[in-house]
Amino acid sequence: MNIGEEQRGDVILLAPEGRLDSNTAPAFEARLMERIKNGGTRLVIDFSQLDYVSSAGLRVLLMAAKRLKAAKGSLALCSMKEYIHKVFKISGFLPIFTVVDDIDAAIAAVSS
Amino acid sequence: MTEAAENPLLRLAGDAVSTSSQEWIAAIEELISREQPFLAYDLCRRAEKRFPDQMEIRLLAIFSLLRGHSSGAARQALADISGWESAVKHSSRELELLAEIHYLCWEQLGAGDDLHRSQSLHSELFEQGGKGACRHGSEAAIMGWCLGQRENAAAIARALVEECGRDAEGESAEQRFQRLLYQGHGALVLDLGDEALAAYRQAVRESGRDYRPVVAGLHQLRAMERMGLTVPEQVAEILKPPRIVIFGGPLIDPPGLDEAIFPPAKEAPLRRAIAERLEEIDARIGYSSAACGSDLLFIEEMLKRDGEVHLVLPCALPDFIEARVSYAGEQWEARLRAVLPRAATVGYATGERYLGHNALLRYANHIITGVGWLRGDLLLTRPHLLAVWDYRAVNSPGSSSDFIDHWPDITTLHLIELDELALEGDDPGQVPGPPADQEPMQPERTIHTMLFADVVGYSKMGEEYLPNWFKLLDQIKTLCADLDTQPELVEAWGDAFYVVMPNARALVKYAFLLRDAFSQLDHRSFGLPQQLNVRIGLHAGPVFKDLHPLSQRVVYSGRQVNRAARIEPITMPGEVYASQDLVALLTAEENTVKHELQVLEAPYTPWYKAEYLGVIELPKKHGKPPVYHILPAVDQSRSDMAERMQIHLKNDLSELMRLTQALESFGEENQLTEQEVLDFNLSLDELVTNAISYGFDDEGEHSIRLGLWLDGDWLRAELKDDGKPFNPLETAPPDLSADLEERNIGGLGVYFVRELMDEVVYRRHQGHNVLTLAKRRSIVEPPSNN
Repeated sequence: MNIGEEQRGDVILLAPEGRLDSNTAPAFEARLMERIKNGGTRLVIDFSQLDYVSSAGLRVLLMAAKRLKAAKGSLALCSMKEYIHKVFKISGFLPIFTVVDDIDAAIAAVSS
Repeated sequence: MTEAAENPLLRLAGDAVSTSSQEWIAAIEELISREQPFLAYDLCRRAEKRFPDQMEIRLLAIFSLLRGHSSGAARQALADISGWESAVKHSSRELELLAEIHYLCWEQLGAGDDLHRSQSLHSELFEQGGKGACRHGSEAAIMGWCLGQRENAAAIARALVEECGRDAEGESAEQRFQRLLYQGHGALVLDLGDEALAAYRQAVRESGRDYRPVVAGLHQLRAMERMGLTVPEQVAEILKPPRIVIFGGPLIDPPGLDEAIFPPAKEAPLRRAIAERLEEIDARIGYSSAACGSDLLFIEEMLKRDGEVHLVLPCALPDFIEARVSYAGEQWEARLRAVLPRAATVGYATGERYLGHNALLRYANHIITGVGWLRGDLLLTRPHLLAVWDYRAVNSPGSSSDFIDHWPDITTLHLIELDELALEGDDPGQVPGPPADQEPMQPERTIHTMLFADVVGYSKMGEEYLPNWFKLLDQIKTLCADLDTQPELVEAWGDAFYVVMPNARALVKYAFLLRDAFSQLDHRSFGLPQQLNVRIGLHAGPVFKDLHPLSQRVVYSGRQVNRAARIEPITMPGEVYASQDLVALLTAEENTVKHELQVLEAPYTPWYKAEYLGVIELPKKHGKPPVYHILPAVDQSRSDMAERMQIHLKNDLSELMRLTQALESFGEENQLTEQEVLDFNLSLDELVTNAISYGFDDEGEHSIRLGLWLDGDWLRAELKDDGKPFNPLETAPPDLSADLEERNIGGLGVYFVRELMDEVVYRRHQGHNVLTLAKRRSIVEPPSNN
């Protein structure tokens, strides 16, 4: 899976592309955990290039959120397509994640 | 080959005007209970004309269609009364019929909303109480469980167990058996295995010698297993179907043999040996011929045990007696005449004369094996073979080697070695005379299989379509080139075909090809005005093959040819039907294949199913043969192929990409909305991921089959894998209100499926997990780009 990456100040932006399912989740999980292990505490995941997410993808995000919370860090998700937003809603994930409209709002959310 | 009593249809026909609707209904129900669904349907159609407002008659018509496996027509008829179904208040008889109809629809078409409907009807009938309430409670609990309504199912099951636990006053032994059986079913739904077993044990103590209630109970348990319930293995030790024994053995030696095989002096020891073996095997039902010697000893011993005996004779009785019985002495004929009226059924391979044709003897033995196995399928038991054998005997047609050489399972094979039995008595036991030596009449009869087909819609086509009709037939001929066995004869008159094959396997394969050519080829693309359909009837039997003096072409003639032609007109278009003789021969041939594969230690894959339809009255006094519906083991024609997609996924997560591509192209072809494609993609992804990740204990490659199709307002999918039994609907739902720390991911995937689909049904079927998903389509709009 292709994962775009960018550093803005102390914020790490990750932008997975395509589909986040049980087949691609391990690659995304490895990248995400590596960034957290290396001390990244402010993370933004840009969903603008992501078309699809299954429970396997949600599992990775949930783990990352738990880790970051334990490390007093923060995580924000942004630019979700409609269907992914629906999946978050059904899962009951919207209240436990910071989900915002665009990258700027996401950076602001993790920086505050 | 079975006798049927007087036909209520004929009784009514003479008195049609004055008959009341209740009398019509009684006649229809009698036909249904005698397993004559087609006749019952015809009678319904006539009754409907006279009593158009009688809903019970219309429901009986639909029920008859389903009993005859004409599920497409039944579904259509059901749609026609859908307004009535939801509007009026119904009698309990109507509710009962509706519940049965929806259940059969679900079983045959797999639409979960039918199961829902059937469940709620049974549940309503259970609450009403009264006669049969326990049965409705049992059905409601089991179906509710299957539909994933665990709490509802458990509540019904608890009420059921309580209700059935009470002794009812004045109930018969059979009613008590049923009550205890349903109590056991209720306990199974509640996952109380031990209580269920205790109830079944008590039920069996009540059942006496009549095996039918036990077998009916076993069928119910099979259905429960298909719906995903776990039935404890010990049930097999409690509810036992009756043991079927197929028998073959030598005749009394005619005088003049170089070496004695079965001299009369061995009769008494052989009788004892047979009796001992029958006791060991616990034989309850027997199938055999009735020649002098071994056969009659077997029959007499079975009757002594109060067993049920079925006889198949190779030809008409007088010739049979002359060639196979009376030569050994008059007392043998007397003994035969004494047992004939006590046999449950007496069938004939052909009712015609013997004519010295030994092929009839071997054919009759194949029929005995075949009908014994078919009965075993119905009674859920594996037949055993008891054969009397002498290694010195010649393996001629009609000898025990006809049975032994093809028996597919040595664990159910019992041999009595005739040469090891001592002679008894002083009398050397000379038989009076040799069987009448008969020069076989020429040409000799041979066993062939025959197909008659009739094209529905042909006669309405104008002559201008004839060239295009031939183009379609050309295409069918091309498809035939792939068959292993080519027909010996194909004749056609306009819309009728007649095909002769050397064996039953080849004929059924030909019939499937023909059926598929009509259901799957697009006939309009051949320039025909409409899609045509085909009725197919199959039969087997001894026939004469000869040059016809007038045409100078090969023809097959005889009584059996005419009978083949009579099956086809009574059938439903698009399906293949066969006489019991054909199916029995097919079963015997298939046993030979199984036997060969077993020797090679290779696995056997079933490729066809034969469903018993009942005793069907043939037109023009051609008798009342038992008829079967033959269909491929995996029937892909359940819905329109053009709208159906099917792919096989390997148990590798990278296959999810193929799943997505397949769904997208299916969505594009069928103008599904993006939302629909995504909902199915996510649901199927979660289920496939589960199956791949947890379903298989070994490292080997497995295939997960996915089917997707449109069914009216519904979009449906079926997922099938051969992994270990796993019902995802039992997964605990996730706690959606937990905060981040407590939240975990378990159960979320299955929760998606439940949320996104309108119905999800799990069942375990023939070693596979089968999940069916369905979603009602939103109002279909033209595809948009946003």
